[in-house]
Amino acid sequence: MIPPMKQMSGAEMVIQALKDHGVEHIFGYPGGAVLPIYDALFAANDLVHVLVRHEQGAVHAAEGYARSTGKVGVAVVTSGPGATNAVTGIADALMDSIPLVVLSGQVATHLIGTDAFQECDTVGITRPCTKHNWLVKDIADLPRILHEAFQIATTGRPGPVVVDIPKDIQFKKGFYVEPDSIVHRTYHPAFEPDIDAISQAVSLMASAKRPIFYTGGGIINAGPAASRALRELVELTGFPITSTLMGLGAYPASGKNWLGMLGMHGTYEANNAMHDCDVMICLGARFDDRVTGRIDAFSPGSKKIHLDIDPSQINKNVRIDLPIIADAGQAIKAMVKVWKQKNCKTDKAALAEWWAQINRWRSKQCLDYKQVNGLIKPQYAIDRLYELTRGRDLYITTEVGQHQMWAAQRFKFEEPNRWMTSGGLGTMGYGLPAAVGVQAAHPDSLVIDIAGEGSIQMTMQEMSTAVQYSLPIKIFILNNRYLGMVRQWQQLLHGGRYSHSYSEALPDFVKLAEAFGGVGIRAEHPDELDAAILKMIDVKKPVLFDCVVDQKENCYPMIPSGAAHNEMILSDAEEETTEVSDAGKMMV
Amino acid sequence: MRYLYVKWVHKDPGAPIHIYSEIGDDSYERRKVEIYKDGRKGYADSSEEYGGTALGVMPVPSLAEIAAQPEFQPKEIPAEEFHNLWMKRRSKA
Repeated sequence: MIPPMKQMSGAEMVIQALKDHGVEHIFGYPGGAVLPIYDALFAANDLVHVLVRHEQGAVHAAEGYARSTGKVGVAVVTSGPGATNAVTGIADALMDSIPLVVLSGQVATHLIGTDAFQECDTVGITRPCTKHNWLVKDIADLPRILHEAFQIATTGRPGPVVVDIPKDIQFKKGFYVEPDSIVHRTYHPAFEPDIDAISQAVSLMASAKRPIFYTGGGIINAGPAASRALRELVELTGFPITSTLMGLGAYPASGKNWLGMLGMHGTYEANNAMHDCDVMICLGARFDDRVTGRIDAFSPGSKKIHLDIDPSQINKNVRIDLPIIADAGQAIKAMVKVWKQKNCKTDKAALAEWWAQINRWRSKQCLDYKQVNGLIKPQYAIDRLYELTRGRDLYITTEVGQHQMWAAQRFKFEEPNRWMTSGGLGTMGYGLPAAVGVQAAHPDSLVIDIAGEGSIQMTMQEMSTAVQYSLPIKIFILNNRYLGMVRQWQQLLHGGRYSHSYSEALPDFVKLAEAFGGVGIRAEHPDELDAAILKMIDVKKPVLFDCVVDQKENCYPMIPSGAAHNEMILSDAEEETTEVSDAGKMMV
Repeated sequence: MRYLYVKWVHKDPGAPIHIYSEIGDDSYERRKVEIYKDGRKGYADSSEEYGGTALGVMPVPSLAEIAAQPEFQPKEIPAEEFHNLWMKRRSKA
């Protein structure tokens, strides 16, 4: 059958493709090279466009939207600085496997290579930080490229794609074809698992004496059904489970098998269990350096099963005994099915001894901290924020640094898609625009960005976006006046020489909030914290909450740089006696 | 693709009273919106579940089979009606 074709301009094709792929929100910033697209957008009443204040904000907002909905995020930027400003967000999305379609304007085709106004080599600049990118040179290619862009961003390992569209292509008329008319010749990512590999994995799991599930963001990306399947698998096996930063919420923190997050600032029990396990079942995670610590000492005695949709991750950092290339949800469902079919039984005596050992590690109470009268400890602030928002329809974003780790350690996520953070790239400034994207998707939900005073100043201008669109995001700043994680490492690794990590000058965040048209709240004493948090929750406007906390608090537990999982330090007292190797300093 | 509205007659405030479904050719739900007595909405598709709503794990029975149960009042609806509701699923109104 001949596919239906309609004649329209390139700009109209862009809008039509967005609609055909179910896009409802786009985040963008107009400029000369995308004006035809914005002109076509003017008549598109069923697309909500959020005008950000900086293109980095557009991409982070699209990331927050995507992460909280499981759908593709879309950003539109102009040529030159519009595209280069978007690069940080694009790289962030690549590292964290977030599906994004970024549409950039480009100078007209006859001007490419002439150093025209606002020209840059967008496909060259974004090639290493996208899953794929295109420069559209012929109107006849545009509909195919647009549909491929959505397919590639959302299938296999999700990621960002860039479609760079010269201005003359946006004006030209051509024939639009529907998405179903496009079939890619070579791109067919794995989805279903190899059943033999699943069967081998289940046999290995059933024979384990000290097993652990090591889970990651791949399960979140595989959709809510994957999280349900994971819960069933954990229930069936009775194995302990930990998660990376990106996987929080796939398994509920209230679940009895939950060990907390693993990695550099993970729990003592999770990291020691990873080190001492005999079978590690890695589901949708990638053995990154924040998780493994010293690679030659990483879980030395375990057989390792690695489920990943991206074959390039297998054996990349750690030798794998049994790889499974598939969608996490499909593979975990298959594990459940095979476990039941084979009527597998675990070694109950061995598992009981394993849990007894884990409980001995748990008894260290590694997340405890010392409360000091008169000062708000950052851990206390996070605990109160958690308790006072518990049970609400809540989404959390973060910036990057100590506050991010405290939030990951202490907030208890029960569901997937509720936790948005920059894990791989570690982008300060992610949280505020991400919160804008989350709130646009969930207008009636409570959306809180847990922030530091350093990070928040990197994309602060997006407060204005939140005010313009009546998005009542809450920015909860743990203000210690230091770039806290930098200060912590300077204390540990650089002899307490706090080189340029203290902010002598800071804005008055309360007045700043008011200047933006939002609401500012400050808390400086533990006694006033609860009332202030409750006030923040009740306000129906964007809020900047300046929570003034203990300046010198460090984030523990911690695997020192260059150390193994079983060499964690739990407090300042231990840190003073811990030698960090030169190789370790290089790993920071 | 077909579209179904089911009115569910009951007194449980924790269960929806209006259920709108998009159903694929294989009879499995593709998208769903549920509305509760207090106006609260839940929705689900393959990538997202919200407000306690999830896609059914079994194929959707025929209209006659659903109607055979007295608490359910089903009817086919036009695609446009479902799409309009889907676009408004995130707002309270």
